[in-house]
Amino acid sequence: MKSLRTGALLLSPLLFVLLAAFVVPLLLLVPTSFQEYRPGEGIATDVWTLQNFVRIGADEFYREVVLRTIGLGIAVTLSCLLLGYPVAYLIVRGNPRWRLPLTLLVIFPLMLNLVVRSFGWIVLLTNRGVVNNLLIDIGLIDRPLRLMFNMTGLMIGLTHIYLPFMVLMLVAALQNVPRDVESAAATLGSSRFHIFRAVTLPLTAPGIISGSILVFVLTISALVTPRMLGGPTYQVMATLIYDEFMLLLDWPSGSALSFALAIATIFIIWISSRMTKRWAGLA
Amino acid sequence: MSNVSLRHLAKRYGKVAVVKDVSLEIAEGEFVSLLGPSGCGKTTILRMVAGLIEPSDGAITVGGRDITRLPPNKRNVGLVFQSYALFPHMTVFENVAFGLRRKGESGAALDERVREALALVRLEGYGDRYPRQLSGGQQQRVAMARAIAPRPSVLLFDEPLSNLDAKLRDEMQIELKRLQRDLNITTLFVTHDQAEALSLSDRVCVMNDGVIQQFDTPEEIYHRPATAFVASFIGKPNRLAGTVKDGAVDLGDGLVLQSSGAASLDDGTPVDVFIRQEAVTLSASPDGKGTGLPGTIVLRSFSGAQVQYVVRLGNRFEVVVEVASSGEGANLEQGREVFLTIRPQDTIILRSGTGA
Amino acid sequence: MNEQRPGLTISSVALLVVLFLQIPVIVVMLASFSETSYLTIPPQGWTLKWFEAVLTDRTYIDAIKNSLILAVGSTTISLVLGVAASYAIFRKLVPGSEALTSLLMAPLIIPSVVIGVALLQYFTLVGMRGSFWVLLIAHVVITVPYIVRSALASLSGIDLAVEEAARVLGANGFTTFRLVTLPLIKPGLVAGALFSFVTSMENVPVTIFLAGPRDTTLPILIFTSVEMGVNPSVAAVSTLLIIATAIVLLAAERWTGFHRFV
Repeated sequence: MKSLRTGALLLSPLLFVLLAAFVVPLLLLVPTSFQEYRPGEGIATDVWTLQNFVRIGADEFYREVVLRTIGLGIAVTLSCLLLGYPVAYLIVRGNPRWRLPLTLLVIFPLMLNLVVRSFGWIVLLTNRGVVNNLLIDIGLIDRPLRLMFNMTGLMIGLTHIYLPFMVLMLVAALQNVPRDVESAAATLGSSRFHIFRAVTLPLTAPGIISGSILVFVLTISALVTPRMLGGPTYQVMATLIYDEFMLLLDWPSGSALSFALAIATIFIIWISSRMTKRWAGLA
Repeated sequence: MSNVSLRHLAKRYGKVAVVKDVSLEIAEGEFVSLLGPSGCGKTTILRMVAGLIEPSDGAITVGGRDITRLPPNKRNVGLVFQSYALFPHMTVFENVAFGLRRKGESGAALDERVREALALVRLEGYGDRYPRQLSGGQQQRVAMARAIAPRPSVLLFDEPLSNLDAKLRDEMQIELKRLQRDLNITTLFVTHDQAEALSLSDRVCVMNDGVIQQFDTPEEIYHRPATAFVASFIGKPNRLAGTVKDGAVDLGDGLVLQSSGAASLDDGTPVDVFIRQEAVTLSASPDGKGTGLPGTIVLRSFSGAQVQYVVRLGNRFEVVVEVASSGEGANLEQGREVFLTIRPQDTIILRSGTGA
Repeated sequence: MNEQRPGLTISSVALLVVLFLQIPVIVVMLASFSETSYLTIPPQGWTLKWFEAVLTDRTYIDAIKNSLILAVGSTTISLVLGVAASYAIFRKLVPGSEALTSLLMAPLIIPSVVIGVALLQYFTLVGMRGSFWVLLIAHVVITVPYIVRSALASLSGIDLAVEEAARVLGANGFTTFRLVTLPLIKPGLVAGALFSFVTSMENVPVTIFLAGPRDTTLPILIFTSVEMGVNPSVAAVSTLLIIATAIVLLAAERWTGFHRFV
């Protein structure tokens, strides 16, 4: 077939790049994750061990990092949802003249360099930062609050970073809710709140789910913001992987952790795409 | 010479045959319509001629040249799409110039030929507009100008008028016919609208289920349908089932219909008789010769130029009758007893079970 | 029953959230003009000295140059490879289009840091670590999904009959693509290219594992320098990035109605 040859010709350059610089490198992490790192000697290639994976659940430090990562993911997702829904609602249902400026103001931080956004939060949250200075100046506190290198800092920073994604997902979902259905509920005697709870919210559920999944997955794999706002001591999974490869040189352990993180995200996305497909049939 | 011939053309998708062994000869300059319900294979045939679908079997020749395996860009055919398929990012001029440029035309000669094509569809001065700035009818005409500008050896139309409203459609029909006659290009026209096919074509090819039912002039198709499918698909005929008896058709309930075709059939042959709505005359009293069929008017509806009656015949049949609203028998009220007169030569008689 | 508009409460909350989204931007810009190395509200003294410091610093200039080369280079390569592949998938020229799409989109799903360490190990093994070409290819991998996504979405919006019309009018496959398909998907591609550019421009998790000492990019420079504490020249270079981003976003919105593609 002629079309098959054309197709192969068009596809093969990109497939080659992805195979050579994505698929194979990822697969090569697998054997590494079963090897053993001996401090001072390097990676022992003759031993095969499950130790690297066992440690993620068994070791107290690792367990804390994993649980912290998951907790952070859930917390950031919920706060993005709570903050994002009103914005999406205003964009879709508000004055049409505000729609474009508001949308652009949501997209703008998204297009802005991630490092710059995180840096902005450092300026705000650091010990001698804007927030602490302001609170001391107006006399609310005597000594600076600890806003960075802990859950608070990461929560604020990551919520800010991923909020635009949530808003855009919710905007898409809200746009698919027919106004007629809401009007119908109103003519049937529903109050505004009841319309929202009984009609709008269920109809935007697929958008809520996919937005939440997106934010959760992005949060648990984030490296830049957690490192910039959490510093070298307050670790999450991504920063721990970074340290194991770059500082500790414990590649086997880092590979196992990478593997766990990748599998987790793929699994979550797979589950959610199955769920949304089923929802799509209903909605 | 640009006569088109399709020989044993077939298209199968897996086990499903969309077009089954279709052979068709179209003379140079002839206007032929492919008419049939959706899914009958007419569009598939058109797309095979254009080179957009590869036939599973058979051959297509244009002017004696076998084009069956040629890619669409080497066929020199013009195609007008149902959706017009104008290039939205190009002006009207560039749309019409597209095919000419592919043939290496440029400069003043190109300008001249685009202007010529736009003049033919009466769109002079629209060259700088974009398709979205035009009405549906204008877009339709640009699509035609684009198809004819490169002087194709065959023009193909894929339901080109179906997206227009009724009034515009009638106008475009006349314009299209005039255009085709002036240019004298062999034309294959796909439609599911029988009025369109009958009024435009030199010959009509009625299709059903991937097979040609009848290929003939519009008059023959209308008055002498070859199969029950054609008889029932063309026009709005009444269909009465009966049996042949003494050179007439016995419809039961004591109703006997004179039919000129019945004489050649044996007594007792089950037949279907098709009677066109406008072939029936209604009168309030018997005509004296006793050939009128007695019935009762159940419904009358006025639609401008015509009045339609639903008339009950015996216990088994309801017949729709259409008469001119200015003529005789236009003011009969509902519930009235009437007599139906049908000339024997206006009946179409076919043995039962000859398809559809 | 009038059109339902959001009430005052919801509107105010929403506007506050939108303001929250701009806070770091405002703060960074204020800090870059401030005399003091720590920003106070209200800022004390106005100065352009931090900008001067950035624009005369070779480290920053080189980093900006590296970032731009990398972003333009990877976006260009991704455009060519991604559009070609998307077209083949969209026209179903090869079987398995769904699986292929998943593969091309996979770099979006795998956490960047994992891609980073995988490439670090791989290119160390094959002895190419620290090469600029490796960095470029890595950026193609992480930017190509944005191109593929926008190309597939734009292609699905085209009336196939338009391509067929071009073919029947005598254009071969490539001419049809060049004169008809490509111009029609261009707005979507511009948006995809912008995403690709931004992604390459801001990437840390992959770049930091692969960049040789001479290939340091701007985000890497900012990322590593804030570990030393808040530095006003970082604020200055950030402000430059903020202004550039705003200009590009508004230009893209004007030309292509960018927000439709997000």
